[in-house]
Amino acid sequence: MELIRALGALAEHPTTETERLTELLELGSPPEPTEFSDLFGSKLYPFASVYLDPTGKLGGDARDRISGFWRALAIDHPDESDHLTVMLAFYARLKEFASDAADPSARHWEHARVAFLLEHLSSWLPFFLDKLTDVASPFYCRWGALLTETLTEEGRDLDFSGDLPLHLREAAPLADPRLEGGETFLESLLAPVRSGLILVRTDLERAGEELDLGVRIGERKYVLESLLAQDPSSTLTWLANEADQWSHRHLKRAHWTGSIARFWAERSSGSQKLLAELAADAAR
Amino acid sequence: MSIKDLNKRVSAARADTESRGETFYPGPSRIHLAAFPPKERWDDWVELDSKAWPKRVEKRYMLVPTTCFNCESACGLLAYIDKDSGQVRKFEGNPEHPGSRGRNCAKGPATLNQVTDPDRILHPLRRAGGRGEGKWERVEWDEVLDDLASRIRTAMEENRHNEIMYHVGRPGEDGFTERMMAAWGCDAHNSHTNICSSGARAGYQFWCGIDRPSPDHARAKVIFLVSAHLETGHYFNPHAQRVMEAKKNGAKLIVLDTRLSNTASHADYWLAPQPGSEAAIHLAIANFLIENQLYNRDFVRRWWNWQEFLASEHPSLEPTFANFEKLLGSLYEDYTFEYAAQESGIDAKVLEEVAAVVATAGTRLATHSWRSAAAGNEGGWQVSRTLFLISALLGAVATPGGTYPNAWNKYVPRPIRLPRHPEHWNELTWPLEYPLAMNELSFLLPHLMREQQGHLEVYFSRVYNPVWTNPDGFSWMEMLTDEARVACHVALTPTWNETAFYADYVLPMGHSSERHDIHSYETHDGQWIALRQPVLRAARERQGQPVDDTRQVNPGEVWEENEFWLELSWRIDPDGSLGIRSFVESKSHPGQRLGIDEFYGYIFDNSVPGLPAAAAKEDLTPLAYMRRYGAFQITEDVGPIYESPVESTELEDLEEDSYGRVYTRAEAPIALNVVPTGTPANDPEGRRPVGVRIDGEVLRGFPTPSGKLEFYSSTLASWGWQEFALPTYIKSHVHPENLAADQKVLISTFRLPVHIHTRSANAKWLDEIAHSNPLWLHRQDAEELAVRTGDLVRVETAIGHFVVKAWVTEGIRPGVVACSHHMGRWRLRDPGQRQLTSTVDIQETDQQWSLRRTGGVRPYDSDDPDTKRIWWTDSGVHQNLTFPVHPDPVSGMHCWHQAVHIEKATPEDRYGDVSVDIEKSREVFKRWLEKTRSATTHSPDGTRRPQWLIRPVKPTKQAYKLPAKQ
Repeated sequence: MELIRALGALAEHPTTETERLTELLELGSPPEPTEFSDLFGSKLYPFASVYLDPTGKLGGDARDRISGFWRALAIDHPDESDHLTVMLAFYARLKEFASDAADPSARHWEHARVAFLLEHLSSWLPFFLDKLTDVASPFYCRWGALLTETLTEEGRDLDFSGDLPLHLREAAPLADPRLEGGETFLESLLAPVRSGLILVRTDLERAGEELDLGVRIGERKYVLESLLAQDPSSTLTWLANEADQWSHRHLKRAHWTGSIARFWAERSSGSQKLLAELAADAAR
Repeated sequence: MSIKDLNKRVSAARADTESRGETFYPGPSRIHLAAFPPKERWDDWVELDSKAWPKRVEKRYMLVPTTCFNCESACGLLAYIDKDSGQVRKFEGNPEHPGSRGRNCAKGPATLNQVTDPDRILHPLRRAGGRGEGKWERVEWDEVLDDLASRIRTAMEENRHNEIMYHVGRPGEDGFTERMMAAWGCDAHNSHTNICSSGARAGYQFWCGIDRPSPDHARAKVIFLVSAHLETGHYFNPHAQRVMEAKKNGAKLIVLDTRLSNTASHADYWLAPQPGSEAAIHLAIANFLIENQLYNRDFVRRWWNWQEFLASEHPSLEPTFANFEKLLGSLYEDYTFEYAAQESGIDAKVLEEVAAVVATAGTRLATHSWRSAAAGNEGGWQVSRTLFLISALLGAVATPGGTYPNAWNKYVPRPIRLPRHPEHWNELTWPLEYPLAMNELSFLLPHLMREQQGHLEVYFSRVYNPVWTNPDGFSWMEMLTDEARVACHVALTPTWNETAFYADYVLPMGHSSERHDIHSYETHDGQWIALRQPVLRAARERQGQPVDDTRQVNPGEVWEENEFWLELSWRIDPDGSLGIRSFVESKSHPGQRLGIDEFYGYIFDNSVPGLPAAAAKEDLTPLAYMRRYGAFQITEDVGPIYESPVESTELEDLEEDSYGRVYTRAEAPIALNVVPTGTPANDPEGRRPVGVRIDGEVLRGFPTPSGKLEFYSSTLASWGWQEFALPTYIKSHVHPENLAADQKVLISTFRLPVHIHTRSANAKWLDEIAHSNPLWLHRQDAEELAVRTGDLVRVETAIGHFVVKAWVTEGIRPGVVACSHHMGRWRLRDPGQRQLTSTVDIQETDQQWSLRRTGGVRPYDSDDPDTKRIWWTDSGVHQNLTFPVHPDPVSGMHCWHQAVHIEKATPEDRYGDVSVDIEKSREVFKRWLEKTRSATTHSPDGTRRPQWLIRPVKPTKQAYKLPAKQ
């Protein structure tokens, strides 16, 4: 469990202690603070709620659901219970409790460990780590690969074929702008649990370059809005292609997270269909 | 290596590290500040240029920290200096600042507006016509300095030291100019504090010898605020963020505020009392705690000066704590919830519920009172005193989540030199009638000048605007236009203001990014210092280009005050015969004037514990470290200093009085932190007070005469105010008993969260947000007056009236009206600040003064295209002109609340009209003077004032002696 804790600590701002950890984990030179800021501060926010909340925003019900897990175990939860560092440290703690042979409630803790891994880590973290390979610096790519390997090992004996976690089951798919309006559509596109996509700033810049469109500086929704305003058909087609690629990528994780990976694949293929339809409408 | 082996390796490393008592994992707090530019990139920070869109043009910035100069919280700012233009592009928060922690209110980023204000004063100006006529000519700095130096030197040579006066608004620094005035040998310091916080200060100082509170909001269980603006004005940002932290942790917030302020809107309990009844509510809560024995008995036994109380007031009783408790049980028994309800108009059951919540706090009760009720009412100083009584009952004093005396959460580093004590006492600022006034009676100056036939050779108004801010502003205009009384008025100001119009010299001073100061504030239980600095100077120096005079980098000829005062002092005393030169002479280069780098370099090298080591870690000098990061945290979790045992080296040839005060012959160690506190007197043999004996142990205690918390103030008792020796309730001058049937109470002291008195009028973003001050009027009152929102009403005070628009609201207590004091700015003509001032015409006939608006705010051409986009015309109404002076006879605080009559405006009335009879204002001054108990008749020891009380500039002991009777 200590390895999980150590990997979690590396999702925090680098400090002098980081060097010791990277050396222990054989991850090479420690990251520069700028690598950290670039990845976790402006591309991939290390918070579960961003990927699981239907708003795609930090906090909210998704965070409260994780805090609720702590509360159910009668443990005081921190403010940011959905931060990756906190979640991995909590998982390590549960694993520690569960492996204490002298503790009569070890079985209870083991049950909690499995539930936390299945519902709260596996529901988003493999997807997050997959996306990380697109955007992270070499150090964080190595870190992500080790975390992926560790989590795979943790989940090796678990059954991922059962019911999906409730928050995935309940999440609505990508909003249809013809029914729910453009604003809701854009928001849902940027909410991974609804679209099956993770669109970071650099993805949108890539879209601009590939489509030869101007990329305005601003929040992602604003950038998307501006791309759609310039050329709705091409932008929607580009998004549909992204969704299509993601549906294939998600399926590649099925050996690891089973029904969860299939959920994500279905989500992105549903998005692909809607986006393609919208693109065709726009072209007309 | 396999996952399993890696796991083992990390586990072993952790076990090994922790077995050595070291921490293996870094703490989790760092994630919270990830959004700020990492400090390692401050030399070359890249952002895309918004103006270049749709092209992707990178802008490179150097980030240089400074400290905000708007309110007194001293929040950290980070200036983004464009590397191409060399100018500041924007200001954001400084994440390295321990008080503000990277966050700012609206006033911080708006510093940019102040710096680039097209109406700002860029060159020294000299009056070219009659005073107040508005004609100016440019003048060289050298000429100004020589003229002022000559006037001041002559005054000193002719023993007219009291004709020099420095009148300061919020200083924004810790003691630089006070020390300069003392070095001149003049009792010249005149602060604005008696129109600001003296009332609250008095309550705190009589209790603990330190005149400000420092509530530890973040760790509190219950927060109790008495406030018209607290946490939404002054202290806004550092305190507001900690109040919200506490609320997130489940703390309860209680706010006493007659008006629904922003703070009140966040409260669990918003109590809107009749203005002036706050102390009665506090005493009812205290009575509840006492009656139900919910107070912290051991704390009271150890730390209250109950022995002195018994000996003085009940000498026949055996001095036991049991006897004191019996008395305590009856002292406040009349303050029932029913009585408090009758006084405040708040239901007794609600008050009882609030008292029960307070009782649950234990030592985690954070209380705060500043201005507001303490500044509004006669006897307002008892509001803070009775509030602190609740803290003192619960033992919530300097505990986590409790309230600290500010001096323990503030750090004022010892400077390169400390000045002498002036041999003079200035009765224009410290008149004999107010021996216990916490600060100078600055707002009485026009009256005292008249009464004492006073004359000022040089009067400096420094980033201060008494004509507009003080009550009775027409009397100020009268005084300042009289050249026989004020020979030379120098306005030191970054921007035009109403007072500067009546100056002989207007000297442009820097904003927060254009000046040096050190500033520390009580924001939580810790001590930090922050450096304000001219950011362009720091940027140049980072690039290896030394700057030796801040005017080289500031706009126009804008100077900074530090260099101005150093240079002026140098010129006043070129040969050293006045004893001033040595104070401003370089130590490293004798014969030369002290420079800025040496001044601050000395402080950071020698007077800030931990800073040299922190700097060395980064291979920086302490000065370079402060220039780079802007702030340094010295300590955290200071805790209850009063409980600290006194070191044995300080205990020598001890003497102890009958209440346990311990005096020593040992020399006091040199204090590196020279934060102001009370200075209790030595014993008759000259030993200094060093501590107080508690349960057999000599502990540090409080800087009060008794060394304990002074529930009983022998100072008040012996200086003629026996009836107020204990915390009690004084009925305000606006108590319903003192109001005519048709009068209401006007609350005039509340702030608009985005403005700061007259300092922020030149910030266009803030002006656009807030530019009017309608009269808050409860719906019931509006119906009685048949007034609707937007209608004009005439508000009559004791000396005149003003005409203002009504704003009908449920957010205020019926029978009370309120008008923010942040608005009503005006100018007679240009030049002047144009974004938030109306043009006015002022007339005077037979002591009848009137002001009428002739034009509103309007768009205008300037270097800034935004001035053409100004859409607002209003700038509010200048209500303060119609307020007579109300000096509290004890604290000296101007009691701002007004008894007013309100009626619909007459057809002749126009919006913004002001009319005042200043003969009446003199009558009011005299009526309030009659309430005083002068030092000449009440001093117990032949002095003008208790020497132990804090005084910004302390004259010699000889000067404290009462003058010989005429």
